[in-house]
Amino acid sequence: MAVEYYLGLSAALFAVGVFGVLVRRNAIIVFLCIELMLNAVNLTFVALSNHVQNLDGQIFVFFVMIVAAAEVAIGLALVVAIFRSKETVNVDEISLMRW
Amino acid sequence: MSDYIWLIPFFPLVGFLINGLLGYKFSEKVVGIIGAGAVFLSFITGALCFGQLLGMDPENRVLKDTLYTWMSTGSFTVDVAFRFDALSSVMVLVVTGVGFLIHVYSVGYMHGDQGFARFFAYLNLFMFAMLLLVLGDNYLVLFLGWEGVGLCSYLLIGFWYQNKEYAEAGNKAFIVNRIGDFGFLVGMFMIFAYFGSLDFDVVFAAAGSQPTWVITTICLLLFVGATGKSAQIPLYVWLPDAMAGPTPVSALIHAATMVTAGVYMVCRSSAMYILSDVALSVVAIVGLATALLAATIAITAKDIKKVLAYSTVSQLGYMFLAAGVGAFGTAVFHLMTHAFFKALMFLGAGSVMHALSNETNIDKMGGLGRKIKTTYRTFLAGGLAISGIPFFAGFFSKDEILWNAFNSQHGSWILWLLGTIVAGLTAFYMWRMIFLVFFGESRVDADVEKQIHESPPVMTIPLIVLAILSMVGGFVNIPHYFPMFEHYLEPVFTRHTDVALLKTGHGSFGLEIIFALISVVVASAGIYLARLFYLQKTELPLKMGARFKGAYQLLYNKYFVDELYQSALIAPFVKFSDKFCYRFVDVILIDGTVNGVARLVGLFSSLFRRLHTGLVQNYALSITFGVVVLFGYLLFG
Amino acid sequence: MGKCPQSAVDAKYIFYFFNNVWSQSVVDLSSWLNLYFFVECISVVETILFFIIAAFALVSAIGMVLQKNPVYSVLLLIVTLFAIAGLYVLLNASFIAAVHMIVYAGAIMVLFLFVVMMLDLREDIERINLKSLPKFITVSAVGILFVEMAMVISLSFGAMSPLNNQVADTPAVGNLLFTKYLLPFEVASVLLLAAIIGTVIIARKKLVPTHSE
Repeated sequence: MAVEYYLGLSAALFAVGVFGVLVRRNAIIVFLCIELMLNAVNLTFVALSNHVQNLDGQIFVFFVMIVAAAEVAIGLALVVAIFRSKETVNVDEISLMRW
Repeated sequence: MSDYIWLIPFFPLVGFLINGLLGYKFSEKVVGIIGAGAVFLSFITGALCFGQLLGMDPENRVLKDTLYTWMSTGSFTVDVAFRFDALSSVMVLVVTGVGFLIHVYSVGYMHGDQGFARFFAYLNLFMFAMLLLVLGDNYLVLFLGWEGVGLCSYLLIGFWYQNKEYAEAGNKAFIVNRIGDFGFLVGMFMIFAYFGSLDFDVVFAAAGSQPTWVITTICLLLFVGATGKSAQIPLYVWLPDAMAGPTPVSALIHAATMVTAGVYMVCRSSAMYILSDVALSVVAIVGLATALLAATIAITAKDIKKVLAYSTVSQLGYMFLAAGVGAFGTAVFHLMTHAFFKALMFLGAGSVMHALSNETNIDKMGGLGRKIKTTYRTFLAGGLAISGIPFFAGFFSKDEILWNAFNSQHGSWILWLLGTIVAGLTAFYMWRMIFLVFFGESRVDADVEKQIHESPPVMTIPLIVLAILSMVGGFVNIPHYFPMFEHYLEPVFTRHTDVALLKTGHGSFGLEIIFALISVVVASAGIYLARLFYLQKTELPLKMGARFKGAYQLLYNKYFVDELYQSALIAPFVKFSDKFCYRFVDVILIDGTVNGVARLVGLFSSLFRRLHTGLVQNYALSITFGVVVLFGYLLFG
Repeated sequence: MGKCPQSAVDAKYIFYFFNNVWSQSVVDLSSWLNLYFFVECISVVETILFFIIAAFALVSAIGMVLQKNPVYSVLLLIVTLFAIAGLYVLLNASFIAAVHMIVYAGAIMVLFLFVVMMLDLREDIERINLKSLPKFITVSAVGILFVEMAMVISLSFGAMSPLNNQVADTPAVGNLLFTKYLLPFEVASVLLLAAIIGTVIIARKKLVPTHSE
């Protein structure tokens, strides 16, 4: 399969993820969309690694996953902390850093 | 000896520093010794240099001492250099000699004053600046001294600064001087622009090769400075007000030394003035006009010091008249004799005030001749000298001026005639004052009269010395037989100038004698009239005043010149500076711009801060926008 | 014998790794697959597989974004992750596929579910409204983004060439990981340690409610 199809799919998934981040009100769904974006990028890496026959791309995906895991853990901990204090996870209501 | 010229201004500088910084700790005696001693040391040094000059060849009588290069920027180089030639020697000796006597007098006059040490510090500073002025070898050192004496004049006039009037008089002196200094500065700029240097030797040697209009403009500009410093029309208005200062200040600064700086400067620049008929005419006419104006005002003045102040203005006019007809040596001669008798009379007036507990109105004096004999006798000597009574100092100098006003190729008989009229007026007003103060019945207040006492010796001895000088000082220059003084000075003026340009005239010696006799007759007539008006028929002045009421008011109010300046110059200027410079330029333009910039920043920031919504998704949207734009640029750009 | 896709061989390893009980049948299955691929060995199957899996991924991703219920969203993302793992297998990245499944679907999504369940979120959060202007701007921005990415991809058709022939199996990945990328590997463990500590501290119980402004 030509690598461009994989890249196109990855672009589409990424765009969907961006859309979700910008549009959804629920903080956890926003997180999920961020995960989707990360996965799209992983797909790009692996596709290109396969195309140029270089294993470094796969190693990078490995590390992206590690970082994603760490980030999710902390991010969800933050969401939990915010929920405890504000009783909501609606991003529209979490705007303390306003002018 | 030329290596020690710098000591002459150095001693008073040291005296200033010691008295200024530490004087408050010392007793009056110590302060006086330091102050007067410094001047005395300068006098000795000056006399030693003078002695060396006498031993030199007349053509080369110049001692120069260059201390160091003051500044050297681009094509402009100026050294701190001193020049001791015949002219400087006369000035130094007069300044330090008379200055020393006045310092001694001040020890007695200022006794008990709170600012005793400060007074002597200022006096020494003044001597330092004045000596810099007369010893400078280039216009910049001269100007440094020029400004310095202006500063000291301000400090000393407003010495009793707690009195608002006195402080304002000091301001007036300084500001009017400044106006003159502006002209002087522009003149210096022109000198530098056309000659490339400010050194006297360089400038005077090259003066002949410049076009006449350049020389004329430079001379006129320098003369503007001289009118400010030497109180000529139109910048004389500060001198009468300067009588607010202590009397020794009036004697030293406003009679003998500072006000003569303008005359000195013109004589020093004689090589340039002689090349420009226009400048000479302006100098002579302004001098004569001032002499006439001041003499007429002095006729009606009621304050003893003001009479002497106007008399000073008038005599300075004489000196400029002499300079303006090319008789520079005569101008310096009159400068010297005037220093003697005017300082004498000022100190005498101070002695009178001291006796009368600071009364200055001559209407409240009278008959003091019987009570304060030494002051009276010395004052008489001064009065005789200024009137031009034969063989007193003023006779020789004043007659020399009048003769040259007629005789010189730059002079005319009108100048002589008006000058003689001024001589008559001089005798009249001076003896009016003398008769009203020392003769007749006493009009002194009763309680003051009980306290009348002669001044202590520390004050009377300088009076006696100056009286002797007023009597014999003129003999250094007897015309035709023994013109020692002018011969001594002549090389200074002929160094760079063709002798023929100077005051050579066509009259004979016999004519000179006749003119001298005429002036003696006029002076005697003046004295006789004064005696008539103020001693014998004392109702005459009142009747004359009533008949010529308008003229009397005009004279009594000094021709309303001060009021004229106030309304025509000062008030519009103040208004301009308030309405335009302050309200518009400062508040609206400058403050507006500065505050406006701040407000502009505030405006922009209040616009831009709306980006901080606090909603993370808005930030994510702006990131997306950025990425879109970046991609677009990379794709299409 | 034509070039047999390495993925078939990897598939064998994967099945063996996960399922020793069924090893025999697995071996049978893999040998059948080998036979099949030996016969066909064209990318037709690959293409078909790709499109099916891609469709799965895309549909479930869009569904995840548009779902109201957060639990449904999480589950749909898990489907997406499965599809992407399949794509990894197609791309000869079997190790990555395995790790992907373990970490993402096995750990991260489970964590998401835990949090969703713990916070007990209802569906009362409003539906996305695509009609208002900000949403329109958002949608258009995202659309333009996608279009630009597609343009980039299309412009680079056939532009890339293979660099070197590296055998893409797990031992090779492991070899690379422990030699060339050893330092990032160790640092990653520190990162995870930091994440653990951070999580524990942030999500502790004794938080005082902050007052706004």
